[in-house]
Amino acid sequence: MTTQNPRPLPLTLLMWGLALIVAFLILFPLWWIFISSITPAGELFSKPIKYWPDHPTLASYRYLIENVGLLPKIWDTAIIVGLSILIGMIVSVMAAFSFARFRTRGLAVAVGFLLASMLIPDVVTARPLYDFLRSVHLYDTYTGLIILYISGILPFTILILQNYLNDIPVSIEESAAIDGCGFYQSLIYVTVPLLRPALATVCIVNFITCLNNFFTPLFYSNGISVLSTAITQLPLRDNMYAVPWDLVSAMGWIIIVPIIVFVAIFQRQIMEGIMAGGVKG
Amino acid sequence: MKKWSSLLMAGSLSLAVLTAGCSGGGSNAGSEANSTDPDTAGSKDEITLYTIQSTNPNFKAWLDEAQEKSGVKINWVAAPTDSDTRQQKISTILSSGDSTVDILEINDEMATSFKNAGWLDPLQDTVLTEDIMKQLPQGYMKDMLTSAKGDVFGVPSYTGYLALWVDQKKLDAAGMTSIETKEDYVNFLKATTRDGQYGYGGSWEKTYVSNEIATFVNLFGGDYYDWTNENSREAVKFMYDMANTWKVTPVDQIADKYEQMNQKFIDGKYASVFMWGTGTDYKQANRYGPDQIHMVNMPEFAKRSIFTDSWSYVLNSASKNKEAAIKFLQYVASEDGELSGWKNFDRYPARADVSANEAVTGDIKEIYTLIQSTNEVHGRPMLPQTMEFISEMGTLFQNYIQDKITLDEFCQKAQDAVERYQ
Repeated sequence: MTTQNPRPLPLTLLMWGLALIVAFLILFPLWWIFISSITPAGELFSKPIKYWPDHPTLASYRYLIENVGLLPKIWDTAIIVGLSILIGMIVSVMAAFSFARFRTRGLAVAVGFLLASMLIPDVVTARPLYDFLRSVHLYDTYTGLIILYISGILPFTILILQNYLNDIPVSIEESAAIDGCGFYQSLIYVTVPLLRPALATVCIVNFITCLNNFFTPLFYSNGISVLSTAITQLPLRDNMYAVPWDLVSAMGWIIIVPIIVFVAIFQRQIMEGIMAGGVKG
Repeated sequence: MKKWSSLLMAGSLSLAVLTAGCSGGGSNAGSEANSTDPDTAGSKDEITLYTIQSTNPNFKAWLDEAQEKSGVKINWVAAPTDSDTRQQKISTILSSGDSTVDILEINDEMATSFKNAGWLDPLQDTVLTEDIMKQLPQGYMKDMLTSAKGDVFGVPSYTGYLALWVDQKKLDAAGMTSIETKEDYVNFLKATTRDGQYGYGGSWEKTYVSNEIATFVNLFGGDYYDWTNENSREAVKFMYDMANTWKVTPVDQIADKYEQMNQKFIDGKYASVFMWGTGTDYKQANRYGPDQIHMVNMPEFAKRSIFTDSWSYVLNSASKNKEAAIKFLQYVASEDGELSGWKNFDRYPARADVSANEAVTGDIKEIYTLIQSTNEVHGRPMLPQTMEFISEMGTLFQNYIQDKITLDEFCQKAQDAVERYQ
């Protein structure tokens, strides 16, 4: 039996010190956005700098709800993100299973295309896709946006699930087949439960990706507005150069909070899933 | 297996049907009527407006009044208020021949980019008739809203000035009652510069400073597009002297945009600034008023000259609802339309006859009237690649102010930039 040597005190202190510095660098901007969101517009740039406003107010949040249509935007976001993840997961599981379990030249080419699509910047395909969506009447519709969101998350999701599936022995599915399981029964009752950690991870990562997606809803919709683009629709004050920083901060905080909560709750699953699916043994 | 296949297919189909039934929600969803139902396109007095005002608390009141008085049903789509994003979106809409939007609100930068592109319909025969045109600021209409062929394509929705604002307490302390001439102004700047406080505050960040350069160029009687003109050179030399010779303004403001400049002005660091708008920031900080911060007329250097800006309503050439769109434009160009903008959005009427209306009140009216009657009013100097040109001129100016290049080099490079972007 071996015992692990305790870490030397200076090293422990150094590590804690570094951790605190990194935590400060990440948390201070968040704190600053928050207090800016509850500071009246007239006090935002006052000197000396105040780390807590003299007259804290929730007026910015109230303004967003009453005038910027925050609640419909949350609804739109929930529909688009929710359906994109759900449909994306179903398609991804089936695709990843095919890529992991069957070997043909065509499938290898398909995987190559899928992964290559991750390398194409959105802006390159923007204009032809815009014209295409308009021609098929999918521009500014939930359907069109959901299709685009799904196409955005598929490559990463399939890559992770495929790698994870490669580590699940085929003999398990063969055993199920000997016991009388059909193809879909085997997939749903045997393979998918084994994929659960990877599914949790990609769900969480895709949720964050979809919530952060700025380009797609901005470019391919007008009437439908989601949270990520709402920050571009805040009112100008007095003149075209006057950015309403109090409202920008409030909207920024609203966008950031669900992501922080999600990552805080699921951070272990995210790391475990990525390590398991992203690293080949 | 068949059962599962059927279930999967049924589930997918249901989702597809569910999502296909969805479309843009909310009260602004009317644009769908134009894009998805060709039967209605062009057959009703109905338009879609691409607007930056939709998040204004008074937007609904303005919309109701506009619909009632124009007789046109107005669907609206919220335009991004962030300038880069907005320009990209509107460029895409117009250049692709998208007919789902009929009327758009555009600013000066976009007007410069679009006016010769052929994406907008001319309005001089239908909306901007002679009687209305003569009430609008002539310099601005010519500089900003008239194409190379002479077509006028935008209805300005308000008038805003890049005006001189002074701190009255500092003016009093300098023993002055007004600033009428260049000499008065220089004396004021020198008298109010002391103890870390400056006579002039600028926002000399590279994408902002061109407004101030061009203001001084006009005051000196120069030409922003001609840097061989002695008056243009003199204007930039004047700014250099303010920062380096008389030291009445700090060089470190080359990092400042309007937010920083305004806060310093409010805090008493500056005695005067050039600023757009009607003083909302100063009002919010309880620093606005005749005995505090207020707008004054431009001093007379070689002449009095001021820049105006506006947002203008334009008609998309691809619109399928042009008849209704013109009715709407006739309304916004009318006295009722301009007064509604003043009442609901605090937008000072662009038409001189409407601004004289007794419904337009407040301290801003007096100074605006004086400015209108004594100044040459211009649109800002902009070229089709607006932001690139602005940015390059700003960088050159910052180099000159920091003694990295000489005045001759600045003028030479500025002229090169003009020729490159023209």
